[in-house]
Amino acid sequence: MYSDLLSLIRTKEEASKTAEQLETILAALYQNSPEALNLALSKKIDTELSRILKEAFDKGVDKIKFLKGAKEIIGELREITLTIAFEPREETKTLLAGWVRENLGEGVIVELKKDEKVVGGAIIISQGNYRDFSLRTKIKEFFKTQRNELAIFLK
Amino acid sequence: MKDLSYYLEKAQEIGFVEQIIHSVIYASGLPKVRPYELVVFEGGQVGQVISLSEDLVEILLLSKVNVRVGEKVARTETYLTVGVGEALLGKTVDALGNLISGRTPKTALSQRPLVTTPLGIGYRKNIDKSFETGVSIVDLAIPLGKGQRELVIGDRKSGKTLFLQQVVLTQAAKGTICIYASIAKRWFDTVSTAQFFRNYGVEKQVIMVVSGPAEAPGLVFMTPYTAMTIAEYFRDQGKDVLVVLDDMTAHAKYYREITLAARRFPGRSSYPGDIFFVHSRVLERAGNFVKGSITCLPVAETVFRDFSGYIQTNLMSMTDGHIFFDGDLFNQGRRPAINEFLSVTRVGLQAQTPLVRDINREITRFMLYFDKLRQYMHFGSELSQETRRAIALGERIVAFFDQAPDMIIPLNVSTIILAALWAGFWKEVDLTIMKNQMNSLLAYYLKDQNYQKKIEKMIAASNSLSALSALLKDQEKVISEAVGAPERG
Repeated sequence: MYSDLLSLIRTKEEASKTAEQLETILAALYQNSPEALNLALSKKIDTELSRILKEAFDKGVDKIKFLKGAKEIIGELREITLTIAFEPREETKTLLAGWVRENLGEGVIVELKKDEKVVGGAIIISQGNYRDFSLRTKIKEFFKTQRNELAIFLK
Repeated sequence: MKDLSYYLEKAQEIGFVEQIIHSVIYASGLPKVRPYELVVFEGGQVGQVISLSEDLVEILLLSKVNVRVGEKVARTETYLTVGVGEALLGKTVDALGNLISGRTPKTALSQRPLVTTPLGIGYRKNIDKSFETGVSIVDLAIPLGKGQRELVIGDRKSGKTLFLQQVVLTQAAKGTICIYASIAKRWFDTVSTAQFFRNYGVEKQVIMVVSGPAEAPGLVFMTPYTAMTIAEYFRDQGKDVLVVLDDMTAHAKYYREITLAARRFPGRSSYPGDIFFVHSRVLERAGNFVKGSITCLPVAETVFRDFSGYIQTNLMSMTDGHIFFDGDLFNQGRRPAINEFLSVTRVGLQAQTPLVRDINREITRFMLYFDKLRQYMHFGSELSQETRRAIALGERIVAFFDQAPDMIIPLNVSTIILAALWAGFWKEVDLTIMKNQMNSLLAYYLKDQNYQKKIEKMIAASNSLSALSALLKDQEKVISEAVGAPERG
């Protein structure tokens, strides 16, 4: 029922934005005027989301129930936090979200954080589990474990 | 304690602060954290997990600096321990065992868990050794035994702390390890107590565990546990230890603050349901053991002489008696202001010699009689000579029990003076002269070892107060050589 809607959401940022837009539509519904709803659907939310909602409403679903259900599902999405060293481009976001969806299922979104200190790689946090696959840690480990070899090499 | 990144790498688990209610913090994440485990926050603060729910971990903050919502938190996979060892003697530490005063111990400290199960009955034995306090009224009327848990209860500023200092002074001089837990006391009072021990040269036998009123409530809560953990280390070495917990009503208030912040269901006077367990868990760790002993003197504060409060009665029921400091007696000028009629010692008597037991019996009976006579006197009736004599003796005993806060009277001296009073010495003398002569006797006893032996011999030869009094009547010189020439009727 909501798979089209969920396909729009790749990151935590997008999840909060979608939830806000659904709230706008709900507010318009409470005004009890078709004009207000049409105005909100056409001008106040993203085109793609508007299309999905219109399609759903045309099927005759209970609008309020549908919107509330959608909000609830968005709130329940599992988050995976990725701390990376650069600002991701749209393609990167899509790639990451695609990988996550493919491997972990539909109800998972990515929260992307930028921290230049990680240098490369990523720090992954999922449901309280923490894994550091960053280049910074690898370099640190390298200097810690192979300090002597490095010193001999530099001599 | 290491920093957050170290523990993140080690435990590979992370949490985020979601909500802060005073000193209780709720964090998400940390999927495998265990109750009572220590956690570290981004800013270096330390906390202890107190409970777990489906989504959140409830953490008690043990640092003074607050954390912020959104901060990271990591598991340490360790539990609360405190460093213990001989090197702590003479030092002042906080509830986590960190040094507040003194140099860093040279020898390494071993770590002991803060919360342990008290030793079972197989490791314990009956109270069988006397515990001298150096305060005559206590040593004779409310005698204590080593390993006893005796509650010291009374109004604010009724001389409880001064009494405890006297006890520490007496016991430290005898080689007992003394641990003084100052729980949520003003720093000024804590420093004064430490100064007192320093001035009398016993600080090397004393360890102070302190928490100020502005500390994190979690730290205040831990203070008696830390004191008891240190005491257990010395007990395990076969030593006698004295633990003073000053005071447990403040401890209960801080625990109430924590539990109310953690939204626990409030019970009587808003204290949580497990307050009895929390206190008894500490006091059960004291006692007389096959190896060593821990004598515990917890303190409870009363308001306007009312010792029927919730915490006060709880503490009474988990101790082996109580010494009641009476605000009225204090206002009348009695020092120490101990009300012997409202004080109780449950196991102390069994550890005393037959002579002290007999003195206790006689003195209790006589003081009750004296108290009744004094009330009767208010009617202004003409009194018989016998009654007047009893009143005069009672007044002399009360005057003898008056003792300066820095004065330590050995049990033998208390015994001999009381027996002398009983025998009629100082009967016709002015009270001031009597007190001076008693002080001279004490000074002579402390100075002259031969005299000490003589007194010890007399006491050892007597099984009852009447026997000792009779002996003194025969050998008047024993008193007169120490004080000059006391008058005897």
